[in-house]
Amino acid sequence: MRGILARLGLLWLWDVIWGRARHYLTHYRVPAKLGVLYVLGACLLLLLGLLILSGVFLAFGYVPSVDGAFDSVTVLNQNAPFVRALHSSSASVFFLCCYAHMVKGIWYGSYHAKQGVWSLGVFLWWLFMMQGFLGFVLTWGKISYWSAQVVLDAPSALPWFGNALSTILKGAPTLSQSALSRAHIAHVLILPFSVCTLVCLHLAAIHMQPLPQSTKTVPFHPYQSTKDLLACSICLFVIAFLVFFLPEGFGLIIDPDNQAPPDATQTPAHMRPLWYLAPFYGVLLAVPNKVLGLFGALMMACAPLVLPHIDKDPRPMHAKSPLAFALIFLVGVSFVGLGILAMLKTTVAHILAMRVLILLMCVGFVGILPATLWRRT
Amino acid sequence: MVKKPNDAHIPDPKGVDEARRRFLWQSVGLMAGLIGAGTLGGLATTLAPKRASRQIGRFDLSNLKGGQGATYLYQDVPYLVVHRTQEMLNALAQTEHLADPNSLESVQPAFAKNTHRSLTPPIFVARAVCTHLGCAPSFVGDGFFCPCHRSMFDAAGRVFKNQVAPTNLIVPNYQIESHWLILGEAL
Repeated sequence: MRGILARLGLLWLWDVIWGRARHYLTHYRVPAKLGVLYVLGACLLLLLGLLILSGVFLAFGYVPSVDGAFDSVTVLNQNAPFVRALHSSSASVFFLCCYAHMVKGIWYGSYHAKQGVWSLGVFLWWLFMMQGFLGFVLTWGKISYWSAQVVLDAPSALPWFGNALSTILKGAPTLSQSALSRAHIAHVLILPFSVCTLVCLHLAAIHMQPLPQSTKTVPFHPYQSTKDLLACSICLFVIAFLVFFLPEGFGLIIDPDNQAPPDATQTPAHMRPLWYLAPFYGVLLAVPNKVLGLFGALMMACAPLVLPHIDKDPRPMHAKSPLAFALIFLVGVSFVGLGILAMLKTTVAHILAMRVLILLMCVGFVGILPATLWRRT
Repeated sequence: MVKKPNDAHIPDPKGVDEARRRFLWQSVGLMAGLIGAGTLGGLATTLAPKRASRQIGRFDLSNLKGGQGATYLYQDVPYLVVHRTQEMLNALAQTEHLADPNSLESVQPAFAKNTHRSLTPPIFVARAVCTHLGCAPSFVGDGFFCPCHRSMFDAAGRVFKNQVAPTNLIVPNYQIESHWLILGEAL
């Protein structure tokens, strides 16, 4: 290999990839006592790789047309069931790890010292939510179709240019071929490149982050890399289990209701969102006002970005005051509860419960600033 | 700086007219910006929606009995048509808890600005596009129900109070010729 590269005058490439990378990994130092949650970043990287790999193979069989999309997904399900299952299971496990990764950031208060890393991570979370949603739309089942209708119609609540924006996103007044083409191009071309760019920035930002002088450190390789590899293997086991034994994941990974082509004249009686977007769907469902509902969902997506500025106590969660701990915990629990309720069959009682949870979430979130300020002084 | 022979083509930095250099850079920047914006704008126009067809749609309503509803697709947009009975029409005047009972905030042609929101009292026509986020409400006997976010409308497409949908269902421009419903922007 070295000989061939030398003949081609590309030996420097060998040096960069092999020599520098190895040198970097053994000289890059991480804190000695990193908790178990710190392996999630590596899992996410692995899952991103799996998603891209399986996505490329799915793209060979996918037909992005309103008449062909649903059938081509059915054919993919028959001819390449493992590829389809790998893509959908990886997406769900990805979001599981993603939310846990965010909980880690909140638990250790990482966003104080590493605000740039945190913000880039939040942007990545947005992009991945778009990716997850667009992937769901591409299957062009009846739930996908009407979810896309709702989401692409959402900008119409904005004043002045809302309707124009919604029409530009769809490319037509109604959901049709142009909307599907746009979703397809965004899912397979625009967003993956944006995601990879942001992932590089996110990783670069964490690697550039200087550690406090007093921190006891160890080389990344082999001390942290072995933990990461163990976590990645567990992750692969989970994915393999899902792919081979539970490809539908109790309807959470692939919604059985979505296994029917869309009917443009009839919205299904029971709409169920993707589990990782369920809290946002819950806000749209429970807030009894179009503009306020969308505003609430948007605010919820932006909340993690604001968190470093309203949490004035830089210590990790377990060292914060009990009140601050309780408030942050309340926000998290309400978020999860809202998602669970939004996944269930909608009844009046559920909607009322969701409204209570939204109120609790707002109260908790607003309370973080005074609670952490009061403790510090 | 001592000039070496092969640096001869580099002008003496003392002789550079900074103001002129700045002007050149700014005009180049401006041109590049205009060309870039023009290119992007030109590309972006290809994303604009195509003009809708002016072809009209004709739908046979002869099979629609009193109290029945149907949804027709015209130019990719679903339209609700309900043949209302006399009881349903009588109930319209007494319906309470409506967000916009007189349809002042809602969209309908001039001929439908009445209590029954239609050209002829029994036949009700509306776009089956919820004014909330565009799902298709369905006819449920005494009104319309949107399953996406549970908005309720009465039999004239008027939304009830405290629903997520902000306004009444949109009534399109249409004509009725005996038992034919004619839809189209060109009417």
